[in-house]
Amino acid sequence: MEIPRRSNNLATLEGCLMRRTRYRWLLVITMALTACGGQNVSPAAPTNSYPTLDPAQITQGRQVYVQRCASCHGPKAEGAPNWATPGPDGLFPAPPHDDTGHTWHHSDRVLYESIRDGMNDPLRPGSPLRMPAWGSTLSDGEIRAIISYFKSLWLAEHRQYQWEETLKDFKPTPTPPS
Amino acid sequence: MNRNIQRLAIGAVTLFGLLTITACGGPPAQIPTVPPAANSSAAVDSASSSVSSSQADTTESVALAYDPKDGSLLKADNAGLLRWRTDTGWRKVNIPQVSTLSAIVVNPDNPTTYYASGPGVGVIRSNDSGNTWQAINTGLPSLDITALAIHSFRRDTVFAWMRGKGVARTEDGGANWKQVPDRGPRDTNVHGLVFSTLPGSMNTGWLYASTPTGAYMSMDCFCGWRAAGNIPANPMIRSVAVDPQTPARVYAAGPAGLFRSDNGGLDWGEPLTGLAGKPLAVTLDPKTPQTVFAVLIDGSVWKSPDGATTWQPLKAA
Repeated sequence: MEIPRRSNNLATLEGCLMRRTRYRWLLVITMALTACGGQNVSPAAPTNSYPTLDPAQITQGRQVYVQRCASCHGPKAEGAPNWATPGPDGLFPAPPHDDTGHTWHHSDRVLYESIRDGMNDPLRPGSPLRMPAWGSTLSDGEIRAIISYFKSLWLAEHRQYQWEETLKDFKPTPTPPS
Repeated sequence: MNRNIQRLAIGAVTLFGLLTITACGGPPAQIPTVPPAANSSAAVDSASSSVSSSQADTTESVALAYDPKDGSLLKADNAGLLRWRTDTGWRKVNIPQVSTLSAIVVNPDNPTTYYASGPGVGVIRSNDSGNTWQAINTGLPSLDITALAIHSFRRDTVFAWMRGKGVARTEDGGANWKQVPDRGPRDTNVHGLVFSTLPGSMNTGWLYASTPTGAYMSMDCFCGWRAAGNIPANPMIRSVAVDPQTPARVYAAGPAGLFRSDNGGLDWGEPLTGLAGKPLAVTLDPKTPQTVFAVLIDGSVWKSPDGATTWQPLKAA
């Protein structure tokens, strides 16, 4: 049985309609997106991903950390026991620097200055330092290496959080001496 | 052919509408409907919108804010949002679909901008002094908000306490929220938050939280909360206010009275005198922070011109 062929005219018209339909859908989608007035329709992807670390700097940082910091902050940067519980004076024991702590909450500047200048009770200006100031003992490069070592301990999401804190820090990060 | 064209036209219009709504994020954010709180003790006359505010001791959130635009006071609690003016007394500010609130914040630099929050409401924002409101909950992990605080110099930064979840922060005026990495204070029943630029923070400032077991404070890097002093008689703190020009001066209101600290909350003096009752909430004029306001449990409004040293009741005309 022969299947009746469509007339060439009809086939041509339908093909034309189908092509026009495609264009119409495309036009409709374009118009709909244009009608949004340029609003972002999905959360913007992070444009500033955290920088990669230098393995040699991490190694140096780990060595300096073990020598200078581990006695209070733990050999694996795990912090003092009960570090999250403030003492009677309201102050906290030496915190961890790995993911379990809050070091990654801070910008590069804050981390650098904390190691360089030490820390006391922030509510009692002039009170004795609870963490020594290492600025006269460690070189600029050693301080930066310690921070790189800390960063090597963090999850990617924490690296990203810390990097964003660095980017929006209202004070500039100290620059290395020339 | 005409039928095909009609179908195409109908389809195109329908798809256009759907795509527009979807791509544009839909209609303006609706404020979730929340039934009135069962334990609301404030009597509201809906006909006149006048309110006789009387609230017993409660652990529910009560927030007070000063609107420098017209010198009015705003109170958010389980009766909703109330505004006090000398010519009207307390008047309800109607917010469609919302009957219970937990916090109210006024942007001192742009005082037509209000933020409010409530259990089940999330956070709502008004750009016209409370006439119209819009839900701003994108990214907020919970709508159960018990407290709000606005940053002292980054005015688009607002903090919200989510019951059972901790702190969320927006840095763009509420367009987007993110939960911050924070364990919260020892008492997580937070019903008040306030920001402070007290020196010593490793970030931009501090947050004070008022709780049934006292006030707590944390740097806004959220490295741990510590108790803000100790008020031995009854440590419950309902409300904290900070002098933005002298941030070491902090006020705390609770069942034991109104207290003042001049070292950021490390030490508190004896209960301040001059108020004829227990304070429910305290706030101040951010531009003239010696001017302090307190609302007592009976709803009366008191004003101090000298940093809470002397007080006088304000009478509505």
